[in-house]
Amino acid sequence: MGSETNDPFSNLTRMWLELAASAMQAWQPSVGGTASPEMFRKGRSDLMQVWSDWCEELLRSPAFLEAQKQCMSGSLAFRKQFRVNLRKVQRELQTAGREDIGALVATVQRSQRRVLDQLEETSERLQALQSKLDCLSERIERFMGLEDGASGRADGDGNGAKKKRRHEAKD
Amino acid sequence: MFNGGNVWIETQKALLDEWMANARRAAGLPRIAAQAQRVRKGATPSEVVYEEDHLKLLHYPGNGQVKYETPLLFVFALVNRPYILDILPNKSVVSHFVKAGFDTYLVDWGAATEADRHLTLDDYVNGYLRNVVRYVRKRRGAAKVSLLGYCMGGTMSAMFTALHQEYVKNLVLLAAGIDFSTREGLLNLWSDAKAFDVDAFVDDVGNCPADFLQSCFLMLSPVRNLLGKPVSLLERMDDAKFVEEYLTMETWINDNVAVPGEVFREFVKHLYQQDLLVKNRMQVGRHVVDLRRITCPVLNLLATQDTLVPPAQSAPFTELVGSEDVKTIELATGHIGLAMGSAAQRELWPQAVAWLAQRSNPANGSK
Repeated sequence: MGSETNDPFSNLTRMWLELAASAMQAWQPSVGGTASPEMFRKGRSDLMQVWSDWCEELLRSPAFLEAQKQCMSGSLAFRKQFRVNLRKVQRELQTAGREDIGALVATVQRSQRRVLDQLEETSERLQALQSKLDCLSERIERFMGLEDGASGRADGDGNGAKKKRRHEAKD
Repeated sequence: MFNGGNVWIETQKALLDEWMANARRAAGLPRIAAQAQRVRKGATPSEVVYEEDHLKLLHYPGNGQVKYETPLLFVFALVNRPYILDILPNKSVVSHFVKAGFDTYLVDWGAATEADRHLTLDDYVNGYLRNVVRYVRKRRGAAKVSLLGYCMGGTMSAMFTALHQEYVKNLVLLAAGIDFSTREGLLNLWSDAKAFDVDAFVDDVGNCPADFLQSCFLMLSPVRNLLGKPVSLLERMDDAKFVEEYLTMETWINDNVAVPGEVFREFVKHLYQQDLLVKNRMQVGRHVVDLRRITCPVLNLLATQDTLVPPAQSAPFTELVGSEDVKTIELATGHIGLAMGSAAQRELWPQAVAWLAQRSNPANGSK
């Protein structure tokens, strides 16, 4: 590739001329050689390779990227203007358009996010509460164990005897 | 002078012969057109076992003999139909695993409609895919599944595994885009923030149209796709096997589906433009994807001549995960050749099956 200029169109023209030169070079071996279908296929294959290389270079060039951007911006701007006008008509006719549906979905999504946030918060609070309850029940168990041990020691029998007494009292 | 005349006559004769041969081949075009209408989609018998919105989960019962407890779930991309993985009896990725005794499933995302334009990656990864994995685990009674993701499906499988590692036993990626910082591929260049305003595009068109995607893919190799392939068809129209494969392939290539707008926006913006996945900053819904959380065995399959997902885009995955058991297999082929190429069928898939078999729990009662 030769030197790049700032003008994308002159760059594209230069690239096109280079392709033409390369394509002619690729076709050269077939001139004056023995005529056969293989020779034509080889020439065609060489030509396609030259085109392919050229396309690759073109599609990678800043000129192409700039052209792509401009083309897309122009197309989107046109569509946008068209939609703005269409929207006015839709408003007059009181019909729902894509923007209305989009706004509705956005509202639903915001509500969903809020609900999820609250659920998460509630879940965290529940977890904290659960751990507090676990702590508390552990302490109660420990306390009860101590109490049982103390009373067992005082009257000379253990937990088994105390449980038995409780059972008898129930009956 | 005389010799020159001979060459000229020979040339004319050769041209005439070639022209006649082409005319004979062209006469067969109506037959090819009729054959194109009868292209089969899917070679291995399957049944739909789960449906959700447009999603269908296909199950491949095989001969009913399951050798491995861990089910295998194929996750395909959102841009095409998934039957490329089971396109012809002799070129079916799915059948390799079914024959090996894996309980095999495939996710068919279906075609997104206008109503799906607000669906995000969160809906797909933490919604549909999670539901499918839950269903498969329950159906099979397995604690975990093995995932095999192709292309965009591979990227989504990697995200799912990072977020739900507890459900994934093995992860196989097939030409999956992970590191989007490379400028090797044309898609990476075209989707650069300086050249492509994805917000304006999605705000305007909604879902990314199938035609747009199709033209982008064709433009990756315009001369080969628009000129080389038709010429090769014309030259080999007498070869029934070639014609069948050509038509099947072309049917699939032209069977693009629209991608939900928000998913397209996230994919282009967060991956192609900001490369957040490798930075462990990719947000999927309320969760951040941290690839280091992937600790299961990982097999990374990539094609060295891939123009859609260049190898530089998928190769770094094994270095980014937290797994110790990682393996990469490269094959000198293109993006589609990895799934249906003869070399892939011969060399790649038997290796992948063996790798997965070693890392899957044997089913009760199987030897």
